[in-house]
Amino acid sequence: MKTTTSLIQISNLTVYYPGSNKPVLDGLQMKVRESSFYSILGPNGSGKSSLLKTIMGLIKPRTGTVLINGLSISSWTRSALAQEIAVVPQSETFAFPLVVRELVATGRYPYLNAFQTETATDKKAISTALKYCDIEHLIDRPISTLSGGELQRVRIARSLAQEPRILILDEPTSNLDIRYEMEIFTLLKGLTKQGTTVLLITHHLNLASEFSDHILLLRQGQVVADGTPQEVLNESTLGSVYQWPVAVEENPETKAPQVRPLPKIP
Amino acid sequence: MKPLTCGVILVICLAIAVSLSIWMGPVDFTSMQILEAIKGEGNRETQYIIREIRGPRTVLAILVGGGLALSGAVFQALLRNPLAEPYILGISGGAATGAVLVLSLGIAATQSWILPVAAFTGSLVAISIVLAIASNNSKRLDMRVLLLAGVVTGAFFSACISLILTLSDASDIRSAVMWMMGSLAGTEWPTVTMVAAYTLPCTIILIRLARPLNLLAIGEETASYLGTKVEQVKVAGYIVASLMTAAGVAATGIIGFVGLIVPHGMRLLVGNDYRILLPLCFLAGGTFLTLADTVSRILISPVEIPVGVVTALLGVPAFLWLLRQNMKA
Repeated sequence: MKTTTSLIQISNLTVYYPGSNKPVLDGLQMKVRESSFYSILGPNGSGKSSLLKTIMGLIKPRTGTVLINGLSISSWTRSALAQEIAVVPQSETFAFPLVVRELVATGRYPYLNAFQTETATDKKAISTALKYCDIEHLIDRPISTLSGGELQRVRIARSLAQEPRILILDEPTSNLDIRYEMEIFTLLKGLTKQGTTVLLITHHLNLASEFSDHILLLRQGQVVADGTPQEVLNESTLGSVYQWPVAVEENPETKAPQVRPLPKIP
Repeated sequence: MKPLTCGVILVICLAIAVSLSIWMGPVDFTSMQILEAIKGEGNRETQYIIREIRGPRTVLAILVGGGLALSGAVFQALLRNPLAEPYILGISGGAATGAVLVLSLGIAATQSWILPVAAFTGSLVAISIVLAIASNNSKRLDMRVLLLAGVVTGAFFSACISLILTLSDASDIRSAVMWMMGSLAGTEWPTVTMVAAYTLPCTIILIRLARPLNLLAIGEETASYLGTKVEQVKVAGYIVASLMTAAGVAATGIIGFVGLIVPHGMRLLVGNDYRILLPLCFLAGGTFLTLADTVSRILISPVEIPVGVVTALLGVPAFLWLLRQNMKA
């Protein structure tokens, strides 16, 4: 039996940055259901990354609530939250490059005390993550020597080693070529089939359309559209949100809507 | 290199360094005489030199060297800056100023806890100044501004030390050279006990923070997402690493670059996982300072060079090489 509980439930969320009187998130509502592939789209500065930080409790909202598994975000401890939700941030700069095995092993930190060494469970989670991301051959490489696509797979492996119920990724495929993009989207889709819920922040309208069960479209901190790709991706909504004319056609094979930017008539 | 192999090699190196430090000096002894003296037998004068002069000096070198190397590695992770180090950051200078101030006022002699507390206060003042200068509105630390702020703060504290010592007429304070270039000469057991009382607990606390420090070296956001209470770890890290530096400085003056050379040497050997790096840094730092102190005693014997001169002669080229590497990246 497939449950349809909301893992993340957000209502009436308003967020301001200190010293600013313009909200970055404005009365936002959203519900993320279990085992779904949920994409958050929107132009630059629409509040996508702020939403991520608010969900993870790094930014305190002025009004509204964030519930994770029905429990308010403020009542989660950081380590309990890290066992529930894993995040792959947009970018990381490594002051001192670890090797791949060490970086993936940091995914187990939420489960371990200061002097505790990895248990069999931890080792298994790490090797499963390495295998799933197909990076077993890289384990002894310093991460500073990896290609962009390899590094992204390593960072995703770290988040899988956390064995989270929810995986959040902030633009994981920017700077990657189409092969790596497709590899990562396919990998994420596979995860949702195994019961992980994927929440993806992306600029990739067409890949989001092909892979997502649900899309949330943001503009200036407000939800413009919320629904299946077919419901959200239409010419008039996208045209007004991105301030650029687009054509939306159906992919004849998958029936997913495909967005094509049009030349702007002067 | 495997961490265990490296650890075993370091323990052997430390044993060799300790033996050299006990053995070498203005007066020559045979190994038989030294063993007798350690057991409390033989010539009274030999016993005194081994047990009361070279003994405490060697133990202090291990504690201070280990402590400086460890705090260097910790500051590097907290500041995400491979060039961070207690001396470069001006923290040692702040600690020395605090120590010199209470010594010159004559209040350190009344209570034994006053000296380390004054040094600790000075180190906290220094790190607060440096962090305040280096963090701009976006709360991001600029690496170059940070180093500049540290060096300038250190220069300011050096001037303070010279001023205080010039104005002071207390005869029992060691010289400005000793405070600014560091020295282990004249170490007595009570000083060793004082430094150990601070250094050993601080070492354990910092090694406990190894996992969060690994995460902070990646970034504060990532560290939060992986379960770290970032603010708590940062406050604990700064305070404990400053305290450990201050305890060493109160006893030996400013010994620079140990916190730079040793962690980087260890990074090249065993990589950057702080769970391995921190304990090995303590061992290697102790070995390094014991050897540097021995060199400082025998190089132009019977004159002693301040040990900070030896560490700076090695440390400055290492610093410049690292600076070049980091500017390229």
